Amino acid sequence: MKHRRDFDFQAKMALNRRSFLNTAASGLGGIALASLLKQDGLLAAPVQAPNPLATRPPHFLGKAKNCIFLFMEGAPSQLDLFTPKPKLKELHGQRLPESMTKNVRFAFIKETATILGSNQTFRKHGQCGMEFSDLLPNLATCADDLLMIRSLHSEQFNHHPGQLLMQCGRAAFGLPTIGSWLSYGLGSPSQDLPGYVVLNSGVGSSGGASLWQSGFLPTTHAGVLFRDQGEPVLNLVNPEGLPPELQRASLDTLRDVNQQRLDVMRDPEIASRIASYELAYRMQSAAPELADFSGESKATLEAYGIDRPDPPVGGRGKAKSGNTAQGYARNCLLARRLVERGVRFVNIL
Amino acid sequence: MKPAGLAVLPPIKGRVEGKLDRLDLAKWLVSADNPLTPRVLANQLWDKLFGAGLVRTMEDFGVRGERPAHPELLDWLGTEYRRLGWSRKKMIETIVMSATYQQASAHREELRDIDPTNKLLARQNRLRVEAEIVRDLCLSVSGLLSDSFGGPSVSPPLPPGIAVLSYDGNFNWTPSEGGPRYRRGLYTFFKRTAPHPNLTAFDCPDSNTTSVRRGVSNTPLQALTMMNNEVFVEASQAFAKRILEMEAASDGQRVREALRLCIGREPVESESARFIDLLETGRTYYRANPDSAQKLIGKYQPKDIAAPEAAAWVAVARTALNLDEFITRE
Repeated sequence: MKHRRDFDFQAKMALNRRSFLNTAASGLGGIALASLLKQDGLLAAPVQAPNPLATRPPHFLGKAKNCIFLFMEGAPSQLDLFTPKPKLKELHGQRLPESMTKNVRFAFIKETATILGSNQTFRKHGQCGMEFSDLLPNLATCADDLLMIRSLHSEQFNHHPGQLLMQCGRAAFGLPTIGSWLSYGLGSPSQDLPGYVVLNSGVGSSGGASLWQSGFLPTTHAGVLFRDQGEPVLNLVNPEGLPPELQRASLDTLRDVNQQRLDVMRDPEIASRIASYELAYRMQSAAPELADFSGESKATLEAYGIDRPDPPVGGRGKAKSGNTAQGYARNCLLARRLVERGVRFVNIL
Repeated sequence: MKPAGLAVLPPIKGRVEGKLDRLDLAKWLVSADNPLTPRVLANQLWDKLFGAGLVRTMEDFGVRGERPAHPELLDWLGTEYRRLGWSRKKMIETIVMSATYQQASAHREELRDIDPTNKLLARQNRLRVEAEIVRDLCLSVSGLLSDSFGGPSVSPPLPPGIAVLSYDGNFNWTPSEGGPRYRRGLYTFFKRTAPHPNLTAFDCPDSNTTSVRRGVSNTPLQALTMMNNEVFVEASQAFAKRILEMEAASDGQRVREALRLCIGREPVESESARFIDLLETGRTYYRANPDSAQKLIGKYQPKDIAAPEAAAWVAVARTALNLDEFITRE
């Protein structure tokens, strides 16, 4: 169910449109969250355009301010990386017992399937003794800084439903994704960038855009796809042949003529649109700076592996559109820069 | 469990005694003693034309939904819909010919305390047009819109990096050429895992679930799309060419005509003046930078007009297409 036009919000905003514009540097306004924002004194004092991405205090003050989610769909199984299964290893090569296959639906497993144990070696690491396989020597050195959640499980046996389960909490369409909830609940500090950014690596996922949708929450909380090549945000760059000064002049014209219509019609949506165009203009300056790594130290670039040569990749992983470790490294550094600039949630798919 | 209808509504009658099937359900939906169906449908049309249904919870006419603002009107619309033979066209005609529909949509100060959300409809509402129509409007004004009707979906240009998001990069999008490229947005092929960003930016539903009501967001991504996406840039170029090929005695007249095409009314002096300022700014720049001018015009070179002049008008056209009023049904 989508949100509807919020006429309550429009009613409140119709009252003080002049101050709306004067104070609303970043207001996106006009989106159906006003009733939840409950801005007291909206009727009296000069009005700050309600910004649906404005930060709001949570019920409990936590320490974490941002989240970067590295959703590495298509990675090797946790059975080879994180989770030793001694019993599985013991039963390697044997047929599955009938108790496990009777009346159970499998996508690809046949009745003649045999058990496959991992042949990776697992060791305990750090003071806490966290277990990793030998395939993750570097990650293992961080054992004492990590929290490993081993209780997560899925009942999905195919890609897209499994991805939806991880992003939405249920393997179903129409639900908000994790970043949408964070944006909705906590807002985002950045004035120039969206609160929920998605970075896509390599060949993408089966789920595609359904993995960053806002579901039944307002669309302002959907993930915004940033790219690490070309335009950081779709449509960021002005048409060829249109210089920055003419862009600014166009925006000034828009602002003035829209304002004149606002004075006549007194519809606060017009003020929202003026504000949206101004935010778009600020994004045009802020976003290119994001992807410019020239200010980062050599140590940082090396730590992220920006220029490290790619390991050889075979099979479906082979580059269809830049499926490289370097591409992923760039996305990780971009995610950090986004978070440094106040973006609440970044999902690296 | 046996098939049956809702207890609050008249019972479904089976063609065969003691058995109910889908045909019985279908007949019941449109039967003369079922008030629900025509009221729900009429309410959906009302929402499209007024920005909110008479029952605002369009998906819920039950006890947890909202009550209709004008219950007798809704009942009448329901009976009328059936009387008109379930013709959407005639129903729409009935509504738009009404005095209620034809009211102005300017906010009225005196209604602020009485009816702040305009439930009683003492005025009309300003509505941003739906996603598909945003592009349709730009194509229409620029003269590019194809009026071909029916047939298979088409593929207007999709920005790079979108199709590849879906199915591990196995989805291919081949942009249509010629007339099909400019068909109405409703004919755009819709891929749920790689929906067209020009549509989703303007709240086109993602088609993963039924959507009875669309949201109406107002975001900087919309601004960027309309200013810079290639589809809209092309429309600006074609619109500028159309404007320049019109008969006009002066810049002022030309600007007024361009604005009139966009917003459907005569612009006031202070509005046209701002666009003429922009035109002058553009002219100054492009006379000094003719190479940029050529780039901005693209392939829409108006006859007998120098590139700098044409480019200045592209900037004007682009700005006109970005006016709030252009994508708003007032």
